[in-house]
Amino acid sequence: MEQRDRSFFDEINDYHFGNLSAQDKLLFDSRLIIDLELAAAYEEFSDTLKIIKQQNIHNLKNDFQLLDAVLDKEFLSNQKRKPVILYIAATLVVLLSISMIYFHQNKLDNPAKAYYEKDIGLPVVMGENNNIQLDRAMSFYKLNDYEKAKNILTLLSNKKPTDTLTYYIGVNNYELGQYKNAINFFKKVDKQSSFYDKAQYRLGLSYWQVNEIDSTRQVFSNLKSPSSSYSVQAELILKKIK
Amino acid sequence: MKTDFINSIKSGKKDELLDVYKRYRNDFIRWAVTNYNVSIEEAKDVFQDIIIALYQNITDGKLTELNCELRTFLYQIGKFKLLNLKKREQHKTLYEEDFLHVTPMGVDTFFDTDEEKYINYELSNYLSHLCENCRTLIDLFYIKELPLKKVAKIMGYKNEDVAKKKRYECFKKLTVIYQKEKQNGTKR
Repeated sequence: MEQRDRSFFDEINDYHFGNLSAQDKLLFDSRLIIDLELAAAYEEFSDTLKIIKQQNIHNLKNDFQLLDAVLDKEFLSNQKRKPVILYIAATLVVLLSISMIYFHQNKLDNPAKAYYEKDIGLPVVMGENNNIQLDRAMSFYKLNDYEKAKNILTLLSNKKPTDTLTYYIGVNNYELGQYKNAINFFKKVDKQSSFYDKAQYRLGLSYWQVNEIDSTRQVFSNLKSPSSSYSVQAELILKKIK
Repeated sequence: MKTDFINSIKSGKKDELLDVYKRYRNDFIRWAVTNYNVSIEEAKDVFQDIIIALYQNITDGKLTELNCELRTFLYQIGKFKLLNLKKREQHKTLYEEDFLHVTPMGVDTFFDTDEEKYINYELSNYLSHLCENCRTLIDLFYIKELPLKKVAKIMGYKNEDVAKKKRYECFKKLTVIYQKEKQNGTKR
């Protein structure tokens, strides 16, 4: 009996591992149909083999479980670290954006800034000047309160516009960073006015500030003439914006 | 590299599989949780199922080559499993044609039809009833599928006939244990 079992077992193994020739395999397939004992032995073999395979998967799962303990720890620590990393990343992005805006702003501002000098304003001698409001405006201007200075100058200009008022409204707009408004006022200063050169120079700088390079070039080209008190600066600026 | 991996697994080197498990598990879980609205536990189970299915398909000879990177392969299979998981939850019909290119046999056949049986079986540890020698012998023959000659050499047997005889004895012991348990289970 055992001999027979053993013989079946060896044959089944050869069949299972593909060690039989095509002819022998065909023969074995036929015997599986007609030989009930062999068929039963084969079924028994298949069942046991399945158990072996399942046991192997079971062992594999145990190995995974051992790894899971370590991997779960890593996973959780990464999860905890994630918000901190996100927080740092967000802060860096904000800082980077601010610095880029600042850098960009400076890039636009700096060239014109380097050539700008603050107008000293008109002398304020209380009692000697009939226009007290203009004195007040100049006082505010000298105290760097350009908004108040501009308001007073605008009120005065609405009553009776003069080149002096127009020029200083432009200057205050420039100081406030309102370059487009400044351009409108500097442009209005009459050619005959004593403020004309100053206004033109600041007009050029205002154009530069808003990146209107053609207009900037035009204004400084006019100021290049030796008769202008800004000819040297105009030359330098023209070279710079080439 | 891809073929090397398959060959290693086929020759019974589990370490390679455990390496893959370690390397991709946590990233996969994060990806699954983020993209498929599954819980961490579900994602863990899916990943383990994928690795086991990968192992079974390689050892059964169903998967002989990978036509993409292993990571891509695992994620594609994962996508399929996760969608099926969601499908089961939502009872919706899904089409999986876009995954069919992943393996030569198609992802839909990647998971065995007996998959649930493989994954959820309750197994008494029959092999633990065998002696150490028998367990090793069975592992070499039926898991690593080494030829008789090699097994005889590893086990220090005189020749292949001794190996054959021992193989029979060990297998028979296991069959008896299993059949006995099965009968007890039926009686219970």
